Amino acid sequence: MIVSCTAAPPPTPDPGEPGIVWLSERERLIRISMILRGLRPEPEAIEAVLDDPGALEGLVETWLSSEAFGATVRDMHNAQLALRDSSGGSGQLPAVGPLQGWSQAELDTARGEAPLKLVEAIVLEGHPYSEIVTADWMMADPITAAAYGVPYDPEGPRWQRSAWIDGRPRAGLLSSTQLYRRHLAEAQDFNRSRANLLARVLLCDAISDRPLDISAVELPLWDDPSTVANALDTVETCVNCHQSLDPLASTLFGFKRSLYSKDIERAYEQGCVHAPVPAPPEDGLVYGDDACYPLRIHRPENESLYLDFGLRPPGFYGQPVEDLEDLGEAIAGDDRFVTCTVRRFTGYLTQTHPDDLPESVISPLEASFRASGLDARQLVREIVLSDEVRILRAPPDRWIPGLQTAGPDQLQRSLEALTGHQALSTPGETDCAPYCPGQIDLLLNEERGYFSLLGGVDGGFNQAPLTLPTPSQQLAWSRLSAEAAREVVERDLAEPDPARRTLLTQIVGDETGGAPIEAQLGALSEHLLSLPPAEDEIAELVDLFQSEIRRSGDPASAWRLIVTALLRDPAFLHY
Amino acid sequence: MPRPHSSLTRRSLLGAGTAALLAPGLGAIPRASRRNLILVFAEGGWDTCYSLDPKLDVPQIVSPGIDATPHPDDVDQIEWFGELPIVVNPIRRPAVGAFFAEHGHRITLVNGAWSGAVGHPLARRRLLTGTESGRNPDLTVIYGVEAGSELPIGAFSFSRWQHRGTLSASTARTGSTDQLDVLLYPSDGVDELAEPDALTELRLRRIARFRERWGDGGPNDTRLDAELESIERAAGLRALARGDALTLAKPPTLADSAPQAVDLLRAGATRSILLAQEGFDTHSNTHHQDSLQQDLFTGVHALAQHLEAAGLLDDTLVMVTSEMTRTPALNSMGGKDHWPYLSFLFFGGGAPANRLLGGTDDRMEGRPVDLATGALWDGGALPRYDQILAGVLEHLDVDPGPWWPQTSSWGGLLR
Repeated sequence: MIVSCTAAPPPTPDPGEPGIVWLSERERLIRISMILRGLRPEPEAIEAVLDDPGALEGLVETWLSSEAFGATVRDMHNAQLALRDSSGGSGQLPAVGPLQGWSQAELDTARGEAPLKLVEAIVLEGHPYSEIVTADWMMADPITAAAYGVPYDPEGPRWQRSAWIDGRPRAGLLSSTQLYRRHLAEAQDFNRSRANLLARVLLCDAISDRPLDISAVELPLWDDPSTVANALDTVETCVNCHQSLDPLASTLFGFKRSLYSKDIERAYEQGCVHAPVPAPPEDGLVYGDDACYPLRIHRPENESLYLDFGLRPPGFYGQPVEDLEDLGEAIAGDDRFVTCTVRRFTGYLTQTHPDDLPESVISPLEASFRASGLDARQLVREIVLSDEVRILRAPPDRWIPGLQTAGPDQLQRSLEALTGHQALSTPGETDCAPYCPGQIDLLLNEERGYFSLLGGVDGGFNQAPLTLPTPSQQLAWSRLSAEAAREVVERDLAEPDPARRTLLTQIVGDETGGAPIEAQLGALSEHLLSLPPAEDEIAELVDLFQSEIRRSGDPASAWRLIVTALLRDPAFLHY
Repeated sequence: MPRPHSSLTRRSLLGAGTAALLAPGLGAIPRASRRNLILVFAEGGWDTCYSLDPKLDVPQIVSPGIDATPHPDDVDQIEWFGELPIVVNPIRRPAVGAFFAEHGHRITLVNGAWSGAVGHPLARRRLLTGTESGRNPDLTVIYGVEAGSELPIGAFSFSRWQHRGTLSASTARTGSTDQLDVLLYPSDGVDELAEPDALTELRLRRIARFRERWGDGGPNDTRLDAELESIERAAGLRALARGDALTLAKPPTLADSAPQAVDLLRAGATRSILLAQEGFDTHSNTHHQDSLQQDLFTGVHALAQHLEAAGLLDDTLVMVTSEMTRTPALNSMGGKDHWPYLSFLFFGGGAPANRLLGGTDDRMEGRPVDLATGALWDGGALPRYDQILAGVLEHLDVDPGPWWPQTSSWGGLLR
């Protein structure tokens, strides 16, 4: 059925607020659905909201418990903490020992998702968000259970609650093996870069960005490490950073500086006999069978290694802490954690740099977040239902998120939901153990796919996803959308019953003109864009269809072109 | 950061029609007299004592050669190439001597410039963008926009260190491995990217209609401008790939990237390129600098040779630098840590030849210079990272003021 109303209603000035133009109910629904789930709203959801705009809040409530929202929560925390790793680098888990048989795609996914699944569970189950740094549990699947040696019930759900049992302090994300394998500590770094990451992300305090006026002081000559240590204690410009950074860093000494894939390989080459481990060396390096599965990246006896280097004792901005659990409690209890959380969520969900968010937006969200007992769903609910997210355009002095652009995570979910297409690589390599790639999702993989070109976080370097279009993104999406179109059209046309097809439900398949074509074009447009096409838009699609029929004489080719066009439509890519 | 010049986004693509989208500037447009820029970034912090800033005679500064082998030629020594004293070792880093022997007479070398940052992220941002913010574009991206508006790509990067800022639509990169190459030269020969004119025209009309609804004269329009620009530049890249067999995969070494970069310049794809060699952060073993600098100078030498062979050396300014140097002394692991001073090596593209500017003292700290002449002068000031980037832009006939309004350019840098 072709809907004859206009696809985009004319801008609606608000009489009460000069210069404000609000989104239509449908546009608002699309935006909120994309923000929360990376999916376009289902037809029933659109119908419900068009019938009764008040239905939106109920939908939001449902969506906040959905699997897709869980994925969004994981995507967000990955964008900020860079925990996933499909770069093919030294953080891989070789498929040896108990992991033999798993592909790198599966192993990469498991190790990257484990800490993110913890955050997802905390958010979706309604725990106080501060549990991300205090939880005494973690999440494991069969791979991470074997790799890290944590209890796992094979009869239970794939991802299930478990707990660290190797003596490490239990402090939510702060205890995550992947956090420390992904973010290494160089020899003389003494965990400072790790500490800086935690302060930057969790407290919005990028300690290493503090001004360093090294030209204004008389530096001591750095002729040995102890002189350096003295400078860090006595030279004002050094003290400025290090008195905050170093005590945080000292809490992390139980974790090794690194545990590379080559360490694991080497350990297995040497037999991995799992002999009793002697007293550890003092340098925090990998030794013995710590690199055999289950990995031992943490050693309780290493927690005091900071003493050997004459470093400041564990602390949190002047407050002494005993260990990592104490640190988690200190972070959770710090006002900056709450403010920073609000900025991080609001910034990510509105594609705005957290520093650009005005206090007038943050303050009420923060108050509500606190009142909810740090329920992140409540925070997200307030964000997506806020006036700011509802505004299409506003005077320059009023902050609004403005037009958003779908990132690779959202594109991947939308594409699969709408067309059934997964952009998977073809596994072909043999003789590749222990790093056989397996089947990767080209939208989500960094090393072999297009994740970075589509704007995703790149190898821990880009600290925020890129949300502005690039030529590389155009080329990648052009390829991926064309492949999706080809697959879904081929599949649909091979199915004789239109009712059982994904997209081409209004035609038999060999029509080249007339009412069925127009009906199908209208239905396609509405299905993929969630917007009813205007008559002139249908006419444009008919023209495109006919031009391809004239060129190729092949209806399948014409439908492929139409689907590709709609997947590359600005209304598909932006919301 | 404001965007002072945006010639592409001012174009009316819709008015120009599809033809304007295809092959902008590819051979059909005569190359302007603008120079090219190639920035070679030694990521991680090179130890300038190993080549550019000799300290062999300063006992308190740990220099290369502390574990020299009995081989009679395994000796680090200072060799003068015109006015430039350079540390060479024919066994461990023969590429350093080979490069300077052939191209030393073309070089402007700056030592002891101030970065003031000892953390990699901030140091990289300062060096590459001339600012504190990672949201600002780097020097190559800025120059790409200024000098490459009519070319398919503003700035091209063979590395992941490109800072695109709000100018992302003007940029392109290889991807982590060979993604861009695969997209432009599909191995199955099926050109999934082939886009009939009818589709392109439809897309442009849809964007125009979308803008009627969403345009705000502000960020929404900026986003749609960026989309149009990226469509145009992607079309340009595709047209370029159809007509020219370029290799756009991320090369395994810097030396491998040299011919690829020169091919891009020669094909008129871009005027601004970022290359990188990673791994200079040698906290654990300072001797890794030997092989790293060997590889770096092998690559830089190859770049100079390819540029010269292509007749592009005089038109291409090559800038080689790193986000910091390393401490005077070893740490307890036998490596060196971060030291907040910078060195820059320039050649080609009209850079003055055989010139040494700035310097460091026996404590490896920067020495003040007269910014008018570059000569050491106690009454002068330490040249800063942003002043140097501004000086580079100025040399390339771009006004740095709009990009770094608070910075006074080091105008004498490349005069």
